[in-house]
Amino acid sequence: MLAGMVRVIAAPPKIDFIEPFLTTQVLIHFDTEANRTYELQYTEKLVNGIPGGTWTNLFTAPSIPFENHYIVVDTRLRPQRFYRLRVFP
Amino acid sequence: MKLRGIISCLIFSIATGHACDLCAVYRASDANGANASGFVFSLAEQFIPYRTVQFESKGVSPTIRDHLDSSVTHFVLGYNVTPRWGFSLNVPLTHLEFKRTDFRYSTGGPPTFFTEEGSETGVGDVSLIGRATLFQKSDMDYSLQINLLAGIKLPTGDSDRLAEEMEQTRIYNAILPPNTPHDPLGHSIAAVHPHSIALGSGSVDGIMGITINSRWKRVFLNGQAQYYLRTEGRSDFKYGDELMLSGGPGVFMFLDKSGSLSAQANILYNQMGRDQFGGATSYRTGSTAWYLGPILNMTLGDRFTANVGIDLPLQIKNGGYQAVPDYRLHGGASWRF
Repeated sequence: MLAGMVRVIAAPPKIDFIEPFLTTQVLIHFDTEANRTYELQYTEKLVNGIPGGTWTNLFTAPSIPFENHYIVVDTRLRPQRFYRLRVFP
Repeated sequence: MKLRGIISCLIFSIATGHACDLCAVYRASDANGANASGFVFSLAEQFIPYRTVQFESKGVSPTIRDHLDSSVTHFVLGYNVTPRWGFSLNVPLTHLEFKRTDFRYSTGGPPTFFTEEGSETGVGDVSLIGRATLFQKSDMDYSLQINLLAGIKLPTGDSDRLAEEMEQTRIYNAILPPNTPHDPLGHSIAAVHPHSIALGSGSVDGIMGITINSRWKRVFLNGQAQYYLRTEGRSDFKYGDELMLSGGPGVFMFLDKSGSLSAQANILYNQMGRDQFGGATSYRTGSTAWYLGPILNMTLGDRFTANVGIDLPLQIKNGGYQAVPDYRLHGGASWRF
């Protein structure tokens, strides 16, 4: 007799798109899955040609029991910013 | 004949299952019995803890738990011009204690995560209700009575919370790409929304209902239907229409000239329509619910009646993410002058 366990692999976090907003801002769009916490972070440095250095939290989407879509407003007055989305657990 | 008067009075009183607007108003006419004119004063209380959280009709256990405890006390002054028709003024005093966690959007930066814990207290929406007896037949062994109620609810309660809700909807609409389909509550992750803790609806609403009370000896069967027709009010917010159907069988456990005590099994169906605002219908609002519970009713003499009851949920279906009632506790007393 075979016994098994199904492990559900959640989709990797993904920033859908970034678009300019008004004259000095950008909008960052992303979807979230239920019961997971997401952190949207940015860095302004390139290390060896890729974004690196210190990542700063811009926004945290808490764990909620349903899927959601977030739109985060950020400034675009800085010379450059790179964004990443982390998910827990 | 005195006993028949007491029974008639009781039948009216037992019909009131909840302390909603129309129930409280209807209670005002109860103490008058079937054949009395004059003033009636009623006090009715309804307490509902919204501490069960559901998403699309299924219970969930969120890490962030919102809740709302609602207490509404209705002060009702009624006057029966003739035994067949009268009117009542219902002034509700509302006290809401809540905890809610949500995001506050702005166009100047990332959404702000906040938890708000507090209370809202004040006069709610005042209503004026008319009552007409369509049919009445009463004898020692039986009685049947049909009443029609209709009225208007005025926007006297503070509806600032609706403006807060609408402001967030407008900001969220502004940052969405044009023509993106979305829910007007798309900005919110809360189970308790600002429109749930508004003291008033901000709108002039229609109220209508019908009650049917029947008795055979010491057994009775009552039913009532109520409909709340909502209109668009302040901040372009329109609450969904509400339908309530309730009733059930009962029996007089004690009955003589000094007073009485009776019990009823009451079933309640409550349908809350979806709210409309921001130019769209919110599918994260609205619910249908079935409740069942007992109502105890007593009279002292032929001027005083009191009742208490509880509605326990059998099934609650809701749209979106909402805090729903754990139970509904209600009671009231009326005095006929």
